[in-house]
Amino acid sequence: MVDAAERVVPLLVVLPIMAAAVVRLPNLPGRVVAGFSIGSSAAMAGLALWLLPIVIDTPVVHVVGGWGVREGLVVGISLVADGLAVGFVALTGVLVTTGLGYLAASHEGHAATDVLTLLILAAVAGFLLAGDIFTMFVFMELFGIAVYAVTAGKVEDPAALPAAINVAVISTIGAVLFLTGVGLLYRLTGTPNIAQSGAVLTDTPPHAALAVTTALVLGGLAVKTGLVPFHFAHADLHTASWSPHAGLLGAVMLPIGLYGIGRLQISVFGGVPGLDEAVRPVLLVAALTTALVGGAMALMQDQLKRMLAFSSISHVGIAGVAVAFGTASGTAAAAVYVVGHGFVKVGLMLVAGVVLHRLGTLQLSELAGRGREVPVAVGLLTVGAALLAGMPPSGLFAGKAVMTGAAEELGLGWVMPLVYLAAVLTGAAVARAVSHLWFGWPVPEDDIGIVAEHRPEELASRSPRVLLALPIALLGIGSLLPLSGSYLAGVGEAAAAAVDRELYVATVTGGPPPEVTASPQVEPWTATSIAPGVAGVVGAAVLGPWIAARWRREPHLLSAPARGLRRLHTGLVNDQVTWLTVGIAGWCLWLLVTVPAG
Amino acid sequence: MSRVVEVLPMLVGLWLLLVGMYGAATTRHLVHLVVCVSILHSGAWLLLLGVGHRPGVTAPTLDEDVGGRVLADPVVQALAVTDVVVGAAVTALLIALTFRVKRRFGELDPREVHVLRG
Repeated sequence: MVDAAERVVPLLVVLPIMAAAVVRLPNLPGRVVAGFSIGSSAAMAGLALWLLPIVIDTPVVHVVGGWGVREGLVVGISLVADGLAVGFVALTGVLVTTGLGYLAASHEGHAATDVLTLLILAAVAGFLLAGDIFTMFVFMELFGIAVYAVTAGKVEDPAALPAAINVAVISTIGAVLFLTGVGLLYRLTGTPNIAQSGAVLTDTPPHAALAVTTALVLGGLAVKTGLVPFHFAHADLHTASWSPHAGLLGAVMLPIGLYGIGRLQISVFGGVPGLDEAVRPVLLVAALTTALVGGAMALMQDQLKRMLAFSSISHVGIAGVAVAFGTASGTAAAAVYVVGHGFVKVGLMLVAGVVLHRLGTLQLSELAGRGREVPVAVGLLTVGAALLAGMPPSGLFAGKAVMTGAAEELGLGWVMPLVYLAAVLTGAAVARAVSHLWFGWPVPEDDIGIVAEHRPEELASRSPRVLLALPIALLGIGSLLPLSGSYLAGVGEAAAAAVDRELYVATVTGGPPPEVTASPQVEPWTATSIAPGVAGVVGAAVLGPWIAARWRREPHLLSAPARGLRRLHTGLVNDQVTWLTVGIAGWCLWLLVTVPAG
Repeated sequence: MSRVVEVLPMLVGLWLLLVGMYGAATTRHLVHLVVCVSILHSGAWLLLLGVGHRPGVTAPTLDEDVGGRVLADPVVQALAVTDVVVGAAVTALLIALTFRVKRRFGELDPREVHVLRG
């Protein structure tokens, strides 16, 4: 079984790439292209789901080209399939399959959308499975380029081109900084392999060069994750991309940056005494700020997709808080949260797509009162608002419940009220949109924000059933998955294995496996967790409509700090590069100061 | 001399990274922006090559007799070559996007394109 599993691992990357090549053949009818793309993506998701229970038991390594460990050195490119990586690949496969299904049913997209989407899928899988840091970089750039291209190809949307340029520049600079870090790390360890560099660095005294290397590697990934102050370009991109891609970007593309941070932080830098303690606070502060800034920005948006874009940023920040804990229970919490959020966010973005198809705009000011024309979509948005706020038993509730336990273990209980607040803000944002849509309360004129959008010329008088069935299924899975005990137990085991550096090193280098550490209890159902979960939903249900109603009376409700925060989001690539420079300099300085000189 | 050869690529690479960032942060022209991103990439390549350099090494080609000399590290050179490809792809894409921005908005100054804000 493990043998077969080992042979399947590279297929997770190869299958979508091959499918992308086939789909690009000239003169294929659209239906064949769509069917083949959906089929291959579903096959890949199926393989990953089949692999998942096997690798949760025993992580599997496939070294490409038959290389392997020679004289104690890991030679060649290894793909490491452990529970966390394969679980994430499976999530991506399932979400991409639904996204492709939506594209086919809605006739969105252009000739190359399917090809690029399959390439994104392959690159994400490659990034997650990569056993060495340079392969991570290559796949990171591959999905980056595919994402810019897929958005830039949306020629009818005025915002798509500038948004694609912004994110292409910001992401590329992030990637170059990451690559510089990779080069410096290679100089320090003599290998790009994650496990081997972790083994070399274990118990070495920290020094300034190592601090800068860590800041560049993890900071470069933070740019890809969209942590504050690297989030500006991502918000623009999600606003302007196709609806399913906007969902995938928030559900998968941002969180895989977190996965990279967590993996490298634990497996490469985790063994250096004092370094871990220095990195965690900077990550925690960045993630917490991201959660709150994203939530506040979402609440102030007057365009549905941009609102959901900031909501993605906020939720990735929340998952980032759990990653910053660096413990098994923190990792389990992040995984449960990302899975829950992924399904809900893609579901909501598809609903936004349906609204656009039916009503021709996503500006709340023009949608006010028109919700009654699309009752099912409004119903789904209402459910989505409750889920984002953390309604039990959704993954967003379960993730925060597990996170509470993880925070208390570390004596960081004070972060949880802020995390709940951020989630309530994102829930309230969607609840506010629903209030405008349904009750017709007018949206005051916005003197700060501009969101240019494409308006379809022909509006659909009714949506095909499948367009609504997809988001219903996604929201359903996102809210009910944590009810499965075996799912939670599997996440716990995968998280325990992922934070075990010795196990990772032994798996890759073929050493004797260390003693199995106990998996954390992933148990969201406690009396103390359900109360804040319910309170969050109630809070969002009150706050959203209250703001919508108050804005009706006092258009200039926004306070000076809130207006200032919005004014910072200029959508200008220069400003975004400046923020990036400030952010990376901050990471470097913080680590230089706090890493003890060995 | 060998000390200079060791340190110089690092310093120049770092300089290129900083100059590229400064240019990207202040530019008012999209083509100039693309050039700045290319310069950033070059900085990273130089740093990588500097990492692989040791005093007295020769090119890592194994098809001819190197006379017992030590080879430069081929791994970082492979990394640099791979990133050259990535850089070329990004530059091509950005140039294509710039072209389309000019056609659509008639502008090459990013400050003059107001589509997303707030």
